[in-house]
Amino acid sequence: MRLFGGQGTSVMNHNKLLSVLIESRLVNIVLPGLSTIVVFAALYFVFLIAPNESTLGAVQRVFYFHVPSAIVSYLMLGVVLLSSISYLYTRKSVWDHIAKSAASIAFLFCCCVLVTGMIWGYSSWNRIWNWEPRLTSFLILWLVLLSYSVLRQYAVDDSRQAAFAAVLGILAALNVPVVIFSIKLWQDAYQLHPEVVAQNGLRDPLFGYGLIVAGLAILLLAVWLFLLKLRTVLLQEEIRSVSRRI
Amino acid sequence: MWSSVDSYPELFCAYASLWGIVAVYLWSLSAEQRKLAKRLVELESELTLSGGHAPLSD
Repeated sequence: MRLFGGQGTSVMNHNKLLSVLIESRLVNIVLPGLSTIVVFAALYFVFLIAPNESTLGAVQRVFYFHVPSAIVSYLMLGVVLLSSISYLYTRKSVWDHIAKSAASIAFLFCCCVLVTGMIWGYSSWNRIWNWEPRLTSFLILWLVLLSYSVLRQYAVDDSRQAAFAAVLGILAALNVPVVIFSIKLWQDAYQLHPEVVAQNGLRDPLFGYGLIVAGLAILLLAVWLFLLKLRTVLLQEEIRSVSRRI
Repeated sequence: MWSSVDSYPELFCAYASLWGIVAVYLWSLSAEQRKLAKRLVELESELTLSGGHAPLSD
């Protein structure tokens, strides 16, 4: 009886949330408009106002979007962690949908971080990859998120899939502190990844302002994409629900 | 502002791939949404024609 009641409540929640997301001005007008404006403002700042870094040259400008992409993917993994725990605790499918959408956006920005990082690495180290702690731990995070996406895409769609995905999502999120502190956890001899912000590398305030503007742009974009993905997931759920009634 | 040590190809590749990935994701998401919305309308009209009084969970 509890299961039946829970499912009925979830169906009502889906419909309500889906209607809100379809009609929402925030999703349809405000966020796309605002994120486009802020992205262009950030690009203007990064390319025309921020000074050139003396050692690395122009390629250092990758930094302004590379770092915020990583931070946003960690934030999305925080959402995955909270919603996966909530799903395992309450078994309400709305948490599962939120986790699925947030994991998708986290994976998207992890891909951005990996690609831009490899290009930057090629310019700085003359090779696209180094097996050093930060890069290796980030690759593991990317692989866990890749397996999460494969599980979501190809596993049979039932409550077990959601439970397995929740556990995998928690594992992915638990890997985030390892990535962040990998620079401190291993000896300096193994390190290649720069620790620019922590070591006060941004001496010119314009570097910092550029990072803030680009960070805001990536954050707004991520929130908008997350809500769009959530709308897609709820539409899929609604189709499954209507199909069962025919 | 731009020095002689600048690596323009790498910078271009990094930004092109970053925004390329985001654009492809956004495009595929909106295409999927359009397809799903169309399918939902079809299913709902089918449900209306068939009476549509089946219980929600069966």
